[in-house]
Parts: sequence; C-alpha cells; structure tokens
Amino acid sequence: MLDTAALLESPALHPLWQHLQASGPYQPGRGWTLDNPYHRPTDLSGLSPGSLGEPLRLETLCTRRSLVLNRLLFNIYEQNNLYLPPARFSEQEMQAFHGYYAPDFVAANALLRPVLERSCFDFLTGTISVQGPWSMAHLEEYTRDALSRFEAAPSGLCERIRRTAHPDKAARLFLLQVAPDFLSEASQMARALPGNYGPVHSELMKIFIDEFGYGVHPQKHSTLFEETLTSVGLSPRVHTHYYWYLPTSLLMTSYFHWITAVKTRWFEYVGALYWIEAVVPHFNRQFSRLLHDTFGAGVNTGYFDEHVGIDLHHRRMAFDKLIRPMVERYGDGVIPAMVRGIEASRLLGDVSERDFLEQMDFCEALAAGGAAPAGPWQGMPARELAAGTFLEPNVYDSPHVVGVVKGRVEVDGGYLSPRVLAPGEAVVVPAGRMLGVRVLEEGASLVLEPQAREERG
Amino acid sequence: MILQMEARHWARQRVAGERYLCLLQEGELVVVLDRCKHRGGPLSLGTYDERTQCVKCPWHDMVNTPRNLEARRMPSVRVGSVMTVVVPEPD
Repeated sequence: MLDTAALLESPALHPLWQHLQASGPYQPGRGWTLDNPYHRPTDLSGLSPGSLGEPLRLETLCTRRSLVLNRLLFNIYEQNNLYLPPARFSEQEMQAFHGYYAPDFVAANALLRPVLERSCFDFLTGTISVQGPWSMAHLEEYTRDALSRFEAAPSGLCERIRRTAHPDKAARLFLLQVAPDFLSEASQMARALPGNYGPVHSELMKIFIDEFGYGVHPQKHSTLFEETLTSVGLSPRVHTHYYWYLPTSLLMTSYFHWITAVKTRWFEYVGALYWIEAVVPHFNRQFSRLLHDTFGAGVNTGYFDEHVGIDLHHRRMAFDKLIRPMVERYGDGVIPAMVRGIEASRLLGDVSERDFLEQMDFCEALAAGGAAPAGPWQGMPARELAAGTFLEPNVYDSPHVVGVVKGRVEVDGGYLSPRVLAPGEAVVVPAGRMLGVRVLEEGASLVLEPQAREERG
Repeated sequence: MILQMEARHWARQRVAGERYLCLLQEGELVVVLDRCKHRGGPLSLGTYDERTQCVKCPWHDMVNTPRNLEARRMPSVRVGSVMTVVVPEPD
C-alpha cells in the first residue's frame, strides 16, 4: 500500500517541502492580526518531512510542535472552504487569494494530509478503545447516562470566566477559540454531504439546512456568530485572530474535518455529531447568560440562543434519524465506531477546555502585572531588536523569561490588550502557554531565554 | 446500568450480586462477566496465562479460552485509565 509519509522523505520530493516552507501563505505576519484569510503563518522551519510522522500524545498537545502541525493540518482542510473578502479585492488580497488556493499549493499540502492526520489523531486510537457486544439498547443507556451527567453540573468553564478579574477579556478569548469552527460553521458537515447513501443522507441534509439558515443569510449560524463577535468588539473577519488559536482549538475543529473527509469514518462522525449537538444546549444557555452579565444589553447572543433551541431538535434528529436507522440497516457492528466518535469529541472538548483555562489564567496573570520571574534574569543573554520586530504568538515548551533590558516591548497572551514592558521588567511564560512579543522602540534589548532551573539544596 | 471502573488488567468490580473483571485480550483491555463457563466460579480468583490469554477457574481448574471469554464480554469503552461498562440492572 502507498505510504505517502515515506514518499515525502524521498529526495525527489524535497522541492515540494522547500516550496511549502517558502510559500507565501505560510510566511510570518507582521502584527497581532492578519489582513486576510489567505495568510496562514505556519513556521515549518523546524520540521522536516521525516519528522512529521512522530505522533502527538495527550501530554504533547500543548507544545510548539503541536501548534505547527495543527496550524498546518487546519490550513490544509480549510483549502476546501471558500472565503471571499467583504468588498472588492485589494491587489494584495487578490494575490493572497490566488496564492492560498493555487492548485499546485493545494496538491502539495494534500500530500501531507495523511501523515499529519496520523500525527495529530493517533493519540485518540491509543486513548479510546471500544470493546464488547454493543446493541442499540446499550447505546441508548450509555448516551442517556453520559448526557444526564453532563447536564447535572454547571459549566466549570463559565464559572471560571466569571471569577476572573477580566471576564470580558476571558470571554473574548474563549470566543477566539471557537472561531476556527464557528466562523465556517457546518463546513465539516458539508463535507459529509456529497454522495448517495440512502435515507439518512436526506436526514443529515435537514440538520445542515438549519446550520445554513435555510438560505436566509442573517439566519446562517456563521452569520449569527459574526454578529456576536462584532457586539463584543471583536473583528468578524475570518481568521483575523488566527494567531490566538490554541493548538487544541485547532485540533477540535480539524477532528470534524478529519472524520468527514475520511469517508470510512462516517459512523464515527455520526456519533461525534450526536454528542456535540447533545451538549450544546446546556453549555450555550450558560454562556449566553455569561455574555449578558458581562457585556450588558448591547451584546448579541443570537448565536448561542439559537443553538439552545435548535440543538434540542438536532440531538434528537441525530439519534433517531441518523444513528437508529443506520444501526437498523447495518447492524450492531457499526455502534462501536459511533461510541468512539462520542468519546473522541468528549475528550477533545475536555482537552481544549483545559488548554483554554490555562491560557486564560496566564493572560489574567499578565493583565494583573504578575507572571514575574522567581529569580534574577538580568544576566541572561539579550539581543537588540528593531522597532516593529514581531515575534509571533507561539507556544513555549518550557518556562521562558521575556525581559526588557532597554527600550519598550509589548507582550500578549490573547487578551488583545498587550502589556507593555519597560526596562527592568520581565514576565515568565509557563510551559505549554502561548505568548507573542512586539518591539515598540528602536534599539530595544530583549531577553528571551529558558528560565533557569532552581537549584536543589 | 452504567458502571465505571479502573481500566487495568485484573481490575474487579462488584455490582449488587454480579462481578465484573477487566483483563487483557489481544492487547486490549476488555470487561467480562467474572464467572467461569463451567459452574460460574470467580475467574478473578483464578490464574491468567499471558501466552494463551486463558483464565483457569479456581473451582475445578476449568480453562476459559479467549473464545469463552469473548462470549462473556460486556459492552465497554475505555478512555485513558477509565473504563465505562454497560451492565444489566441488578435484580
């Protein structure tokens, strides 16, 4: 069988990898936001085709390598999505548009997809195992129990956001983490639609019609989400805040691309879809209330309110009109894949929630003037940087000190309100957290070094 | 009903009068009814042969083969170190 991962390592394909590394869409940005959705900064400099195949593990999901692999995979899937600017193309936009969707660039990326899917999702195979003789009655009991447990507890995420000193900034950071999915909502479902697979095909179409607002643009779920973003002061432009997508937020979005793109995962998709539709009403009700309490009457919670209602129908439709008829038609043997989809989406939801909360805590510390190094850092090597130098938001694998020796530098972790560091000031980025840096003054001197380990007495 | 137990070889769990045993079969952890195929003896008190993956019952030394054990498997899903099992409601 063809192994594209091995193929990528052949010398004949080195030009392909070099082309991707140097490609326009993957080059770094110059500031906190991106001007168009065709620019997808992805730092491939530290990777080789041979290194792509090393699987991520649960413990390495919040690392720089994970961020790069997940950015890459997300961008590859998104080449299937069409994005157009809100008005006439600028010359720069037109060039970027043709760059991102260039057939040769798409084809080069497509060759990476299987190995990236294995690297990003292999941990699910090892973490989740479904065994034994599942029947429809078992599946009903299992989903009823899982859902009642989920709905019995208030959302820990909403509670944590409420308890922060800046719930508005924390809520915005959360909205940024769901943006990779919600800004193109149901595009993964759209991937599942081509073909001809019997009565359930038409049942899925009914859910899809709701997602796309019955052809009424203001009702389209992505439109509703754009309005929520606008109402809280965030840009609704697609992926303008790309830099702040955490690796696990991208992973969650890509998971649904994966299980709809790889057609043999259809039964897993149906399970995952059911679970997402099932849990949304309980969460969205609480998040909508949180947005109202935080931002007041001006906030548009239409996106979240819409899902409180419609997803009660969708979870019933997913179970009774997709799962049940397919088990009747194809037998109990398809149930384990459905259970796998349910558990994978639960697990990815938990993982991305933890990642978000840790990033939120770091942002809170930055905003409060905290995150200071425990010991002296002034003796660490410093480098001079020109004004405007932008060190892209990246995940740091070990605690790093960012300190200013001379000039002024701003740092941000995703609260979109950078903290300015003056000479003598420093912060520590914890392991697994994301930080970006921008130099504000000419000739600034900056320390960016791993934090020295404390000596043991 | 739904039972949660540790996902570990030879982890045991009792629900009302019934016992369940988690064990390795073909590299995967599965959950079986903890009863010998012969007279219902407690397999969890028997011995496991790593090579053949058979379990010998302590009552009459009856060997339960992987095939016998498969017939006693319960529907289960393991996520990390937690095993969720769908088991019959106790009488």
